[in-house]
Amino acid sequence: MSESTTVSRPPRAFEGKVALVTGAGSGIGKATALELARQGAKVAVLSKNPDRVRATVDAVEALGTEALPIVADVTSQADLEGAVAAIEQAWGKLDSVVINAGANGVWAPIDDITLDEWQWTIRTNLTSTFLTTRATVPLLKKNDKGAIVIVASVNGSRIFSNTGATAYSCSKAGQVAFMKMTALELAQFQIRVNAVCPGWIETNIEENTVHRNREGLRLPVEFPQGVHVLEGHPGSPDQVARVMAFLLSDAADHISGTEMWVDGAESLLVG
Amino acid sequence: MTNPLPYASSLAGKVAIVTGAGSGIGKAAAIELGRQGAKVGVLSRKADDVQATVDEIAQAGGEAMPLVADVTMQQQLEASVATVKQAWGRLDGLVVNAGANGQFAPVDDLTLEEWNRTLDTNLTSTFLTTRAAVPLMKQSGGSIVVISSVNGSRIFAYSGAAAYSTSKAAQVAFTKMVALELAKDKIRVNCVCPGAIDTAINGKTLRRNTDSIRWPVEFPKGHHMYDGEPGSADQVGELIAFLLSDASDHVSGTTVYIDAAESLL
Repeated sequence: MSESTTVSRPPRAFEGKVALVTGAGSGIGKATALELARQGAKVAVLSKNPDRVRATVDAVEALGTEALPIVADVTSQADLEGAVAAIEQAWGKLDSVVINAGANGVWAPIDDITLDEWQWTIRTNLTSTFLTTRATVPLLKKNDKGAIVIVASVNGSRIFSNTGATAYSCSKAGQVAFMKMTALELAQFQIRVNAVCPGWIETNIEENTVHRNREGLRLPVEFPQGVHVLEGHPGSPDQVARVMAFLLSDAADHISGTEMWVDGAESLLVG
Repeated sequence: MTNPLPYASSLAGKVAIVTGAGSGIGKAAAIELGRQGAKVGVLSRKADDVQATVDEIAQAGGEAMPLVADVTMQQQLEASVATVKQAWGRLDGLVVNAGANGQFAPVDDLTLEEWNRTLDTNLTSTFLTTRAAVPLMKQSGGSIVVISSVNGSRIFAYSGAAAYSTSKAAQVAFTKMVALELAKDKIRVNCVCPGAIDTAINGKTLRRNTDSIRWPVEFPKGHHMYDGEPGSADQVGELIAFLLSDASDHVSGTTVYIDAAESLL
């Protein structure tokens, strides 16, 4: 060990690295894109929404690094393959993948939610995870190593009391199993795969949630002092983004196949 | 370790105690915390090992204090915390690492004394260390990291290690219980589950009649598939430092496996 002081480390962990972030137009995805950019990464900013892609790209560039705008639908294999081709053309490689795009979908009683609604949620959250991994792995394999982080949830892993969110919770549980399967499969290619399971985070995910006929569905457990046991309020996207950056970095180079709950211990109370 | 930190280290000015800091993961964690600017209480039973770790931190420009104590002895742990309080006035981080493999033997061969010794060394020590440290940590909040194992949580194939695996499983439950209990005091508690790490722990394992109970498993060559070799204590030290830092300030009550996915095979 030749380093002698605390300040001798190179300052930026993602210098020279290329990252793809899906769902990068808002919330955890946007915060992660900016955190990686802050640490020197070139960031491919992927979202369905062109205005939001543009806003994140501008914010990444304002941090002094490069950004690639990618307007794509994560349920479209062709879109994702096009995105990876664009990254390869622009930067010639890919080091880090953040699989974040997803939605709550329709929350409704199990005999009320329609097959189309179920399939929409599974496709948006789980099949998109498969498709994003599938599209990016060939380029990741060309590197000497790579890392993927999947954004799952406390729902489906520790919390099952959001009654009506069955499709959502199943999609999130599926992501955790997918993470473990691919962590083992891709280990031989030096590609690490991990998942974060955020709790309540201040994002706009609720905007697009459809609640239907859920009155009386959820068992009325009360938490008179609230559920945010650690900090008294929901977490911020930046707090999740910092964990994502750690898991993607070389400091985590022996970590693969694990989930990390990022919820300030809330899920241990709520369940 | 030349990796740039993937977060803004916040350990400067903070105080941490690391148990089992005389070797292996504990030593690596103590050195990493020292490197990131924390003042480190280096705790182990063995005075020589303690001094070696303290010296290494000091040589790197850090600040460390020797704490010679047995983690199964409540009074010794309380005295160690008192020493830290007197010297530095606060405690922000606690790494509950001390432990041993103990005696591996068939369950109807393992004696009660051997069982008790393993549970005392790994589990009751976790309780006692936490119990001794928490009053001082409550002053300003902090972060506790418990070092458990893939054994008892994901791996159950080391037949004969029933006491060890049980103690390690219980540490995970302990982590979750106190993570919730101490949240109101702004103390985070998390658990690290290492796989095969290149330390001296296996050399100290006592094995008796374990050949007869081990279910035969043959792994393909290169079964440490990701690195091609066991993990290093330094790699675990980096994770511990992250969990003690403010970069993980919304992380509490989680386990983190650090085994390059081996436990999935």
